[in-house]
Amino acid sequence: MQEAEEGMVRDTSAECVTDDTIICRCERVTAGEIRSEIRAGIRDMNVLKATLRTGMGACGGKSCTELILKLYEQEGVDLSEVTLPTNRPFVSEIPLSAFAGVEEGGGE
Amino acid sequence: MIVDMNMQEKDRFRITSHPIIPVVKRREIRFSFNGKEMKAYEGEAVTSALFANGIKVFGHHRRDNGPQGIFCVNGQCSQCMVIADGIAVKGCMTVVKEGMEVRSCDTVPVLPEADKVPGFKEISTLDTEVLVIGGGPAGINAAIELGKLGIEILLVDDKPELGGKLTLQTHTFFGSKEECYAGTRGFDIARLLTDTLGDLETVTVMLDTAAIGAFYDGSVGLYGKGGYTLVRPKAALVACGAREKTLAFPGCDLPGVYGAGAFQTLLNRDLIRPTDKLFIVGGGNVGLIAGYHAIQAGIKVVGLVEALPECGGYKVHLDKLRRLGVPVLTSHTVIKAHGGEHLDRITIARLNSGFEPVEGTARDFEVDTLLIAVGLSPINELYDKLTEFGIESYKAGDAEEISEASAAIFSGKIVGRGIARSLGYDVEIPPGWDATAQTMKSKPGIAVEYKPERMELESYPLIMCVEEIPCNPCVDSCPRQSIKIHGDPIMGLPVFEGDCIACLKCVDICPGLAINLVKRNYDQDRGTSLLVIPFELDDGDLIPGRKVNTVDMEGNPLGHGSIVDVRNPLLIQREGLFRSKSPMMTL
Repeated sequence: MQEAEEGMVRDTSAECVTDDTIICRCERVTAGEIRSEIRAGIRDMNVLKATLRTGMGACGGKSCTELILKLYEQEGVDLSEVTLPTNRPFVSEIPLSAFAGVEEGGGE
Repeated sequence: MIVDMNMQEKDRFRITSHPIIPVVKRREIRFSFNGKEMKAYEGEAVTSALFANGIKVFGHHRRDNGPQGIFCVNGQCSQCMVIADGIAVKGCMTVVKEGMEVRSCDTVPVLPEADKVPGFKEISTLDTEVLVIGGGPAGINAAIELGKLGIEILLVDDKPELGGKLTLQTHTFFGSKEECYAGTRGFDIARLLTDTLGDLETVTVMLDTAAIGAFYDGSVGLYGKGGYTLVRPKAALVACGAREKTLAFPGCDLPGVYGAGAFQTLLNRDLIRPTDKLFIVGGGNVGLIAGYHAIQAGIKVVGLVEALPECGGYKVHLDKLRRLGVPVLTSHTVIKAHGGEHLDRITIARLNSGFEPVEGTARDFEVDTLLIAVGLSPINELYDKLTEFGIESYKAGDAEEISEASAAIFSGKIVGRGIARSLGYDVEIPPGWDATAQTMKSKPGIAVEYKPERMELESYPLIMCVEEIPCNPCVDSCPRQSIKIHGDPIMGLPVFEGDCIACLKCVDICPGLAINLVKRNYDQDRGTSLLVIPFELDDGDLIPGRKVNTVDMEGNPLGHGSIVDVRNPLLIQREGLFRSKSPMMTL
C-alpha cells in the first residue's frame, strides 16, 4: 500500500460535502449554492433549474437530481415537500441538423 | 526515431495482451486533438482514442475553468463533451473518424456557419408491433421471445454493438446453467444471444440509435445514423439498463474520479489501460468485479473502501480480491479527492455507526484514479413519458429493478412473453419462470464458517462456497454426480459427497473461483499433496518449480508451496470460449 502522510479529518460533518463540492457536474453548481436556495425556502427543483441551472446541462439532470435530494434531506427538509424537476424531451442530446439544415444532396 | 517513441507512448495506455479477452488487430487511423495529430483505432470512441494518447483532461468548463474528463463513458453524463468536426458531442458516444478534428469544449458551443437559410427536414416514419429500447440481456431476451412468435420487432440500442454491459464482463456467470448460461463468460453470452436474435426473421435491429423522446400522438423519436425517425409501436419495452450513481465529496468532479462501469468500458470493451494503479469506493459486486478486472489487466488495486460494515457484493468476488492482496476496508469512505488538473491523491477515513468520519483516522493514498461504485439507478425516463402519453409500455432488467444480469435475462423473457399475450398471442409464461427470476435477484445469504475437510479419498474438491448466492453450475459439471445441493437447488450451498475422478470440471466452471482440487499423496516421500487452483491472470509468473506464498480463501497467509505445472484449458466448449488456466502446486 502506498501511504502518504497521515492527516486529520477537520470536517466531521455527517456527509463531508463541503460547500465547494460540485453537485451538478454539467453546469458546475456547488453544494453551497444549492444549500443557500434550500435555506431560502425553495422546494421546487424546477426553480433551482431556473436560478442555478442544476439539471439544465447536457445530461438533463441525470447525475445531480439524486444528490440534490440528499442535500434537501441533510437540510432537514421532508422530501414530500420537494417538487421534482419536470422531465422534458429529449432524454438525450440530438443535433439540430436532425430536424433542420441546408439540403446538400440529402446531407446530414 | 519519433515513430518508435509514438509506438511506445501508444502502448503505454493500451492493453496489448489480456489473459481472457482476445486482443484483435485493428486498423490505425489519424485524428487531431487541439491541432495535434494523434493515432487511434478505427471504430473506437473519441474518449478512448484520447485516453490511448494519454489525454485524460479534455478541456475546461466555461463557468469556472474546472478541468473536464470522463465520468460514465455511457452517454449518461456530459463530462466528456468535446467539439468533433465543429459539433459539440459526448466523446464516449462518438466514434473517432479518419481526419476528425477534435477540440476542447471550453466555451458555449456555437452553431456552425451556414451560407443559406436552413429549412426543416422531412421526418420519416416507421411502424412496428413492438419497439424494444435497449439491447442488453433484458432487451435481447424479450426480443427473442417475441421474435420466436413471429411478432414484428424493432430493437434499438445507442451503442455500436448488442449485449449491453454483458460485453464488459470477462468473468463466468453465476445463476443456473440451463436457465441463464451460468459458467459462461459475460461477453460470450452477449455473442450467443446476438446470434440467436440474428436468426429471427421478424426482428430488425438498429444500432447506434437512441430512442430520445415519446410524444402525445403515440410516436417515439429515434435518432441514429439514418437521421431522425418517428416510430409508432403497438407496445414499447424500456430495457435501457442503469446508470452509475455519483458520490459527492470535495474533489469528486476531478478528472480521474469516474465510474467503475466507465472503467470497465475503457478496459474490457476498448482495451484501454487508463492507469497503473487505482482505488475503489464501493464494495458491491460492481466495485469488487471492477477491481478484479483491473488486476486482470495488470493494474494495481491500492485499496477498496466500503461505507457499510460489510461489503454488499458476493463473498466469492470479495475473496478473489483479498487473495490477490487488495486491502478491503469496511466502514471507511473517501472524504476528499486532491489534485489541480487531475486527481493525484485521495483521503479516506473510518466511519462511525452514524456514518460520520472518525477524527484521527484519515489516511492519504497517492492514486490518479478513483472508481466510484456506489450503486446504480434505473434508466426509465422514457418509460414515464411513454406511459404519460398512453403508449402501452413495459420495463425489464435494470430499468425495472437493479439486479444481476442473470436476473435481467429472465426478466426480459418473462416481459417478452407478457407483451405477446397482451397483443393477443397464445403463449404461456411457464409457472416456474417468475420464481426463478426472483431467485436470481436474491441478495446473498449469511456466510457460514468454512471448515476444510480432510478426506481419505485419492482426490476430492475443496468447495469454498459458504454464502448462499443464486449459482449452481458445479452440480451439473460433475460427471460422477458427487456435488449436491441440499435445500434450494440454486441458492443452497454445494457439498461434495461421493467419489471424485479428478476431472477438474468443477474447478473450471465455478464462477467464484471457489473450488480447488486436492490430490493426496502426490509426493509420498515428502508427504505433500497436489492442489489445483483456478487462475485467470497473466500467467507469465507461473513457472514450474517456483516457490509461492499460499493464502487461505480470504487471503490470510498459510505458508508456501511450489508450482508443479500449469494446466491449459481443458474444457473448451466451443470456439471462442475462454477458460482459465490452473496452476498445480504442492503444499
